[in-house]
Amino acid sequence: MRKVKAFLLTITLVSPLFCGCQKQDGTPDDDANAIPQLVNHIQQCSRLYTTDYRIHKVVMVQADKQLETSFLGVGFNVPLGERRLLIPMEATLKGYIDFSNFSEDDIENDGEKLTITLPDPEVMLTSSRIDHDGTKQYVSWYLSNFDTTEQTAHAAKGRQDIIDKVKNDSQQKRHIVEAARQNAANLLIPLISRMGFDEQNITITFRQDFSFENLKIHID
Amino acid sequence: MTKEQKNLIIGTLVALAVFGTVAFFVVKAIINKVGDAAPKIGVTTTVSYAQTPIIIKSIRHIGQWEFMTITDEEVVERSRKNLILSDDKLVRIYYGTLRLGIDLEKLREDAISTQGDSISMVLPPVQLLDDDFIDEALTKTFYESGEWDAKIQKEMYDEAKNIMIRYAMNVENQEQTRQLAETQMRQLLQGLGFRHITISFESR
Repeated sequence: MRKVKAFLLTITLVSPLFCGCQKQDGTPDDDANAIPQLVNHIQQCSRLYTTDYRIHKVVMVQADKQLETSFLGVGFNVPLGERRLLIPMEATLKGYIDFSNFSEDDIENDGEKLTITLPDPEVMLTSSRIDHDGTKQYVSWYLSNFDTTEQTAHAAKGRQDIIDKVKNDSQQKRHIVEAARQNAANLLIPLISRMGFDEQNITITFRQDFSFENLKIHID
Repeated sequence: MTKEQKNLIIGTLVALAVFGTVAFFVVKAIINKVGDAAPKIGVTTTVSYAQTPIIIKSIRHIGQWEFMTITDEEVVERSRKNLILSDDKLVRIYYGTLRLGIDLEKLREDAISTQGDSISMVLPPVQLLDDDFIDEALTKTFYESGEWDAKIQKEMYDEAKNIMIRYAMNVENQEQTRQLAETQMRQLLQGLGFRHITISFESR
């Protein structure tokens, strides 16, 4: 009860700040006393996303409660009840080519043949989404349900599993690299041919020493 | 009340106070002394995750060229009145990364015209490249009292999304993204040998 009162007092004290402050780029909100600092920032970039992967996972959690006690130095665990949670979730990964450091030096044009050397493909986790309708929990009647904090913490574990799977699965990485390369070529060759170049004379290449094992996986 | 009765009452109260104080310190000393040896009791939670597969639901070829990334965090609140107990409240912080750029797959058939070393290009309008930009698994609950169902959580997600879109898709950001797109495209076209370059954007 004291905790709730303290919270309400804090909310009351900071509410004028909520009304009065305007967000500006790169500056955190003024209400640092109440809510963790909010960050908004803008970054320039040049990334060509060529492949979009929608990945599905169901997180299955068993968080059973037990009573731990000891008597005469001997420990006992007494099961108190079951708490089970199922969270279906989806994550989006995108394969892309980063053009930030791309320059005219990467284009060879001898008047007839055109060769473009593209930067290495990379991959980024761009979003994750919890299926709230599909989330199910099975909890003994005398125990408390999973609150939103617990649900999101378990979903974060699912998100990490997806990232680890992509990072550690060579086959998956090879597929992402090849798809990003192929799709970049499929996108750029027709575009350049529309600029008057003969499609037969356009070559899109990538760094020769790049291995799919070196694929960079970015997480925002 | 006689003087003797008064003295008796005062004496009793003093005796009770002294006894209470001594008893308090004795009990405290006993608790401190035997506390470590007393049986311990506590409720623990054992968390385990079942191994579940990761399924690629779809693979889509896209041609989204991103020129501006906006990272945003927004607070969304919900509260509801309770008749007897204190009000329920849920305060959550959502994290999103909004990507602004052009969708090359929307490039019109007649968007490019060339003549010698001159090229004219009409790019698709600057847009938010993907509607799914919130990393919901990273959402933090700042405060929670009461139980909140799936409907409310979806509503809060949508509200956070709308706030972020309003923040990111302002006129200034769109204009800056157009300028960045023009600079990048101009650089590419110069590399391809064009000297007279005209770049414009389709209106929405």
